[in-house]
Amino acid sequence: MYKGSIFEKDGIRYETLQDGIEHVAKNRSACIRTKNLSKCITIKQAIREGLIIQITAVKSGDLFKAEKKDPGKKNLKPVVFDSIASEYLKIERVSSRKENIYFMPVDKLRAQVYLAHGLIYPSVYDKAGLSNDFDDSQCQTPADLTLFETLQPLKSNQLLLKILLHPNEIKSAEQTGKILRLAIPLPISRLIGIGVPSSVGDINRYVDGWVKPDVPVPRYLFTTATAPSKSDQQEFRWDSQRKSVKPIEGLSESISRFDRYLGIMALLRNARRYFSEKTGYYADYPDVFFSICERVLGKNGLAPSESQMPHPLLLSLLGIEAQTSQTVSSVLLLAQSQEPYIEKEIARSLANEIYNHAEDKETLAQAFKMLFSGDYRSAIQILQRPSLPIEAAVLAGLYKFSGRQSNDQRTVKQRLHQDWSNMNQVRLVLAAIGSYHGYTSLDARETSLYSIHPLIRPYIENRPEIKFHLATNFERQLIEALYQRAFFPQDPLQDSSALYESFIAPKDRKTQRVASNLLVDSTYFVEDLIVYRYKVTLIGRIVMLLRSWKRDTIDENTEVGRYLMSQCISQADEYELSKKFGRQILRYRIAKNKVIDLIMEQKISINPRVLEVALEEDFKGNTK
Amino acid sequence: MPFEFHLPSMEEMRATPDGMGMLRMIDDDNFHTALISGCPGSGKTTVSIYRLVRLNSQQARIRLLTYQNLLVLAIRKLANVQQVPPQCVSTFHKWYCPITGSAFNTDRPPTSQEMSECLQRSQLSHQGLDEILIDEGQDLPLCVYQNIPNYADRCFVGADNGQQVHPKHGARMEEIEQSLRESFGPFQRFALGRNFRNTYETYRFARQFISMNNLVAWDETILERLLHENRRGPKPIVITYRNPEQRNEHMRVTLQNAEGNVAILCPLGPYNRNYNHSGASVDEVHEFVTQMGIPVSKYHHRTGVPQDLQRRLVTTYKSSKGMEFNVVIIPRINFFTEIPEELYVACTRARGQLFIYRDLGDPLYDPVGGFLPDTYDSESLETHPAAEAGTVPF
Repeated sequence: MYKGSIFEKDGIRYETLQDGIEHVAKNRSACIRTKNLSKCITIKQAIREGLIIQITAVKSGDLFKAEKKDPGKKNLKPVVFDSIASEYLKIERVSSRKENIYFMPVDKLRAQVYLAHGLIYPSVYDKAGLSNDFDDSQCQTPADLTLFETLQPLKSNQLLLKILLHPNEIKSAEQTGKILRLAIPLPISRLIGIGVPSSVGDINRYVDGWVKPDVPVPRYLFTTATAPSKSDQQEFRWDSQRKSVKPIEGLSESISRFDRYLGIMALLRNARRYFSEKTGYYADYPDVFFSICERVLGKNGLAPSESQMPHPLLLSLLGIEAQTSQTVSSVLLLAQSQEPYIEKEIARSLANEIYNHAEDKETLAQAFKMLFSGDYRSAIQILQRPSLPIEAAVLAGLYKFSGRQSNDQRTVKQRLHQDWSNMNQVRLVLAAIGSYHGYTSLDARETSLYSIHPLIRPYIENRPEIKFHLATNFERQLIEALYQRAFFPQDPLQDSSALYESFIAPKDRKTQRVASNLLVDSTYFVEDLIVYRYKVTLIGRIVMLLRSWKRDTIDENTEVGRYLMSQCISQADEYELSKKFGRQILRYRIAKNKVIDLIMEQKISINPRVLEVALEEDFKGNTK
Repeated sequence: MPFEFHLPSMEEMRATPDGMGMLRMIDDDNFHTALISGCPGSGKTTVSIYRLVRLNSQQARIRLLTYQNLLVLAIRKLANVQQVPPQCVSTFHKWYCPITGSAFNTDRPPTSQEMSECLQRSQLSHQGLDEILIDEGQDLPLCVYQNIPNYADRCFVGADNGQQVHPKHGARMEEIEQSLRESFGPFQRFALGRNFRNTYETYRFARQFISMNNLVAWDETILERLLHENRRGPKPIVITYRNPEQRNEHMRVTLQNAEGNVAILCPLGPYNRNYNHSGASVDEVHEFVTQMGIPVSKYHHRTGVPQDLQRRLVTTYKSSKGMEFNVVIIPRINFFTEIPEELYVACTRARGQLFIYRDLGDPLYDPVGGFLPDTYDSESLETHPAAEAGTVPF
């Protein structure tokens, strides 16, 4: 256990005062072991030696049980946030209420549902219809979010969410005493802290247990909780004036729209990570992601200068007005469909529409024929041709990966790198699939990146985020803007940077440049978001070609050997000078790996283009 | 590409009737022993695997012991994603024998006393496990439940009398419960109902293999629930053929276009000289799929468990029990004897698409013959209808 960890023995809680102290629960008496001691010591001894302290005599496990028997009784030991040191945490510590911070004590599972959806929403909009199974006060006001001005008591299975509200939201909410009721959902970007009951013990261990694949875990938001003052505790009462359980008309559509918008951005964000093996280029985000962000956030200067304008279909998917054709509008409708899968006849009908407007009808008909006979892979090889309308390729991708039941939003990534060579199209396909499946159904992180360039692999994360983990201000502002576009499409976009900047400081992100002649590192920042970007150099490509060459040694009988002779002879494993027909002949042999090392360490200088040609010749088998 | 084992998402679980209960069970550590029961497909194994992943993430010392070799292999694939060490998952026998140094024969199980002595001498007595999870607990003898809980802070058992394959020596659920409740409290009991992972279309098709007298399989509320939960997908595709080479060519395209984990299921494991129709045995199908240049694993009772599982797997109907795949392909549905339950199991392994090849050259043994035509889409490899004049050519 780490310093500050909490454990329980015979109903009494203790806190460790040093790292490396272990509580051996099975031992009755001598149950404390330290790193230096082979034998366990008793609790009393451990307290005497300053290893642990007793913090409370309340039995945490009993709290929940007691509450279950009699929900009306408030015999809980109340808990609130505690300020603990966190290596991630740079945000202001929670100890008292700021003007626009409110608190929500919620069932742990409900908190996970909010994170999975990217939305904090009243129970009545829960599609699973199970919100009443949660154990918290939100169940009593199904059509509203109930927020408290002050810190609240928690049960052992609950969490205290710290929520940031816009001043206008506070004004428009219904207030009873220090309780606020909000009838509309809030974006997850407003979540700025998660208080955990102290009874759960070691907070890191507790968070490690959050393993649901669709729930993003913003680790740095978690803090331990302790008891609030008596005056802060609020008695929650059912308000007869507000026991409506009716949803607000149109709000479900806004929730679906938000899910689609977030799904587009989440599925699009990693599009550049999937192709590095094929292209020798890697970026955390595709450039077009930031071009779209510029439009979504109404800001300039986010995208790298070389980035392209987003395709009108992409903008239309996000509800941003763009000039689109009739067929693009039809694809758009399909990408917004709520159906469990896209039926062949529906897809065929749209294909027909695209076909009627196309110029190269014969080729398109051939591709569609393959698609509808089940040969998607052959179809998209044709559909990627620039002469064919882009919406045909998007339709193919959508139709193929439309099964909600078979988790197609996950399987689509497995063979993207094999199937697609047109990056613009693949982005559109991913965005359309993101819209169709929505944010909620996505994994929080990639399960795997299926195609990574070996030279880039050491520098990148294997399981990057798909869903938003609220790690940057930029991410929060993006979510906020998408929320505004989804819930208030008619209103002008409000700049939210001021809302967040006073509460969330950027993480202390250090970036170390990759120093290698094999990669060009053009990592850059977009506000407080770091975007890693690497490109394999020509030398890097040659090193890879050399590695793939099925030889262990290089000698003068190869083109490569002849080219490198003058530079490598001094490092050769063997060499021989002989005379034949009156001519001096130099022979040498050097291990291939040694040559690779010499190139990587820049101990020999090569002309990469010449070496590449030499390698190509050797691969062709032209070398005598 | 290797087989990928995925935990169901929280939202998938919440969409099922017992989902919330399952989610609570995954996080509940307030017991010494627990028993979870439920019929096939109820989610017992899912809860156990989830607990395994959670506890492993929390650095707990754990073991998941199950009965099915393929399932062990599939769960071990979690190591790629969730960092679960492979040694945390095994069959009971493969775990018990090395740690105690003595064999464990389910057909001649030790007495409780013998097992107790054996365990006391074993390294398990000072290993101090946090939790032992036992899946398919009904196939282990009672002595296991009279002793194993002594060696872990918690023991979580999944069992179902209906799935007992060792009725003579396997413990009944009631016996397991009595032992755990009386000797190893605090005890918790969880019961799960049936959670279907098939689509409406697959289930409606698959139940036709089973006699209509089987009221459980033909319970209309199952279909109603699947409709209500919007579990819909494309209809199964039945492809008729006479020439196996035509079938193979069609299957090659199907395999190349099948996403995720794919099962190719056959009634027989080893090649059978007396019944040598192409598509009937795992060995033969594995051979011709490999010859197509498509990487594929195989498993049946005579092969060892493959070291590495590809995302495409050829196995028997029986061995596929308990597993699920994005796509299921049955290369030849005809078989010389009636095996309705096995066919039902095979078809219900499909989460997404189901492809069934039907040999018109063997009409006597055609289990799909009497199926309602609207329960599947049919395709014939014999006829190629010409495009009608004036219609779109696709």
